[in-house]
Amino acid sequence: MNDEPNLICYKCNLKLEPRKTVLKYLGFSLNADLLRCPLCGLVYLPEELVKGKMAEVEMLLEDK
Amino acid sequence: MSINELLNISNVCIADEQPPCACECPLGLDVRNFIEKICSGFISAAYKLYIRDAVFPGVTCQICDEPCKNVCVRREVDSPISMRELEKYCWEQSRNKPAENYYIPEKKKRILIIGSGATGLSCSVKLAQRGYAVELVEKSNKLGGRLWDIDSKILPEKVLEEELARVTQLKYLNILLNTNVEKLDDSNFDAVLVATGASGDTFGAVCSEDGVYLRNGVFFGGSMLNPGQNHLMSIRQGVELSYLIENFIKVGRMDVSRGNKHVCAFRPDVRNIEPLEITWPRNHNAWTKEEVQEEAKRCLLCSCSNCTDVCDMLQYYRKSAKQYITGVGNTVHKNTFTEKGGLQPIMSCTQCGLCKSVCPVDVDLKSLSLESRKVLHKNGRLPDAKYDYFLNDMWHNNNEGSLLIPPSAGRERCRYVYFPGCQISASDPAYVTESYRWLTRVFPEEMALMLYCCGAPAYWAGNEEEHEKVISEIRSVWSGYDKPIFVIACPSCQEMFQSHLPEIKIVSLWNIMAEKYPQNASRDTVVSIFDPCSSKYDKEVQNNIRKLVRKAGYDIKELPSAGEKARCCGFGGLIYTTNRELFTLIGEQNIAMGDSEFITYCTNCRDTFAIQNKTSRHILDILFFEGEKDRSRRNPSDLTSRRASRILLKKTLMKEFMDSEFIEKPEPHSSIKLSVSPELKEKMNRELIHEENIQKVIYSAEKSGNRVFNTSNHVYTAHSVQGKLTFWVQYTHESDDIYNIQSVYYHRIIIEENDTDERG
Repeated sequence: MNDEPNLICYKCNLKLEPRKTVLKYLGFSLNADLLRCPLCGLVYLPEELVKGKMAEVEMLLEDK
Repeated sequence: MSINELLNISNVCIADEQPPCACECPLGLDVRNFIEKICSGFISAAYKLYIRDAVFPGVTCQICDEPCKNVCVRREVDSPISMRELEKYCWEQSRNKPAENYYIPEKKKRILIIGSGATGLSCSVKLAQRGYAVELVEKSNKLGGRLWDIDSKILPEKVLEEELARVTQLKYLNILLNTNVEKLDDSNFDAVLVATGASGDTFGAVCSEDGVYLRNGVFFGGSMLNPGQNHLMSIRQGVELSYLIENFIKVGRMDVSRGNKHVCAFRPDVRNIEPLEITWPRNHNAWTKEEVQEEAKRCLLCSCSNCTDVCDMLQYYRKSAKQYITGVGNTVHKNTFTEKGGLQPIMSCTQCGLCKSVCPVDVDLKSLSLESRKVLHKNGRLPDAKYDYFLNDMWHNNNEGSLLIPPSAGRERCRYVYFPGCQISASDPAYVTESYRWLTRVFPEEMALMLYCCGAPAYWAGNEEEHEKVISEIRSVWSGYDKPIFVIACPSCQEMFQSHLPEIKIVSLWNIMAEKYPQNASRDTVVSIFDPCSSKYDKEVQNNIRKLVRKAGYDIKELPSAGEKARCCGFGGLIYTTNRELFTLIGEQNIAMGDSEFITYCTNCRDTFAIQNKTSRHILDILFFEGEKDRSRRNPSDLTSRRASRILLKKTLMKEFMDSEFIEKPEPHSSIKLSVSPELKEKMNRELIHEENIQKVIYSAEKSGNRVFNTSNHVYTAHSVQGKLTFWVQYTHESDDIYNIQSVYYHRIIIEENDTDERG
């Protein structure tokens, strides 16, 4: 994931960084690097990612 | 019924079954396969297929009296397929070609066959071709038995000789002519076939109704069992016996013949087939290859496709019923090595029930689809998130939107409860107020009203727990009022009540209205009735709707889907979220059925047509709102207005019939003011995103401070988990009051956010 220099966590006032995050769906578990606040862990997901890769993964897991 | 019971029943599907012609064929030829090969021009392949069953193709194609023609469905269109001519052509092209010589290893097993009539002969040929040492013993001086009795005008002697000559060339076949068997000595043989003819020796076998039996390893067949048997049946029997004998040699078990014919279970529909002018052959004694192919192309290759012909879902996925059933079984039983992609079709079934209504063997794909959703939901493998919107809608109906109005004379005199259903109030609250007012005039003091959802969304989502809760609530209201009759307006509600609340007596609103509605003057306008799929078996309601439409002054032009053929409008089974493309396709096909305005009696149907720009009205529009312009072009309200309509309805009804105010309990998030562009609003409608979803995200983000800020464009991004979905909102917040929404999106995957210990 590209490092977006403009994104900050509003509460902690820190730049978001990519961090390994666990995703769960239909009994499956996977890892992904998502932009998160280094202090409180707040997650950021842009629409392109949700509509794109994430939607693909959802369909893949649903069909398993 | 359980999922396994339904899967078992589905296995009787006859989609692969032999067509009527093959069932009648004395040889049991695979007609479809034969025809397909000819159509492709593969004459020698077609011949190979034919000779496999015919054994003596030169004989059979001359003497067959074509019982297939009696059942060929083409007979009802122009004329039956001339199978014999096709077979004859294949034989004539191949008769002079040298026989293919495959090396077959010798099997060290010996079989004695007594009698060289059609049965004994065919059996000998088949066994010898498979490498068994066959000793064929014939009493007379030539092979063929009663084949020689056939009129030589039908079967020229030269042809018979030619066919029999091929037999003598078989490597493993030893023929003994002029040999009479006195005593049956099978000590040197692994099996015996006695096919000595109608008055032939049975060697002391016992004849009973179970058959003829001497001892293990001795088989009987041919016209000795069935005097005067058709020669082709004898050949078929000989072929079958070759397999029974082989099986006995391999496993030691004597199986009996399965019999030759079975009745074909389906009758293909030929109503749309155009009759052809048949100008071939130009010479009856010499068909050309082109003429043979023209004739073969006339064949409809009948196979049972009754359900696929009427099911949009099966056509969309290009699946036969059998393939669908297999997919369901694999998905439910989680066969990881087999077919993937069984889930999408299961979730694309609209529950319209046309499949079951046209199936000649009562295969119920509708119930199979629903049961599999239940099983998958129970095992946590159904993507429930796809149904989240509809379940939320149902909960909204049954909580904030629910209302019970007792009859004006009090509980003691409640004979009826009007149950309009949840969609009708969201479409237009006036539908409910007008129809309830009408009902209270017709049944003064004894008509209650229950605003509630019948549970169809939960049922279609396979969610048994939620469905049961709804059903229980309805049942308890019913028994609390001492079991009144429920007046139902929506055909889907009617189906739900009939299936899951059979103890409750129901009557259709339309049956009541049809009697009492006055006759109006003719409007000189033609409309078409779109029967909702759940009305399929309810002739009374369908007729009463037509009565009402005529009383309202309209003329009716029936659609092809009228009556028992009622189709889904696209809303059924909640496929809107699981298969948007199919939803659109179904709508297009429905609209293409007729040009006149559609009148329907299910609001989902009406609203679905409105989305697709088809002029349509609900029957209540005709009955109560005739004066109002443009009811047919009234677009379905957006999601926010739909819920607001229900609340408005509740307020109106409570004021009018209970003289009380409905005070909404405002939830904290509802004070969040949003500014949404029209494009975004349209996107939200399409994707079933409610304004409330956005309000909840922003409310919790502002309260907790958990939001991402983009320093270059000042856009906030926040998210919250609501039900099974995670909603994301991007917004700017310039002034104190209004939140300017840039975009909103959601996903079903769950993000584990509480892992603050991990570092990337």
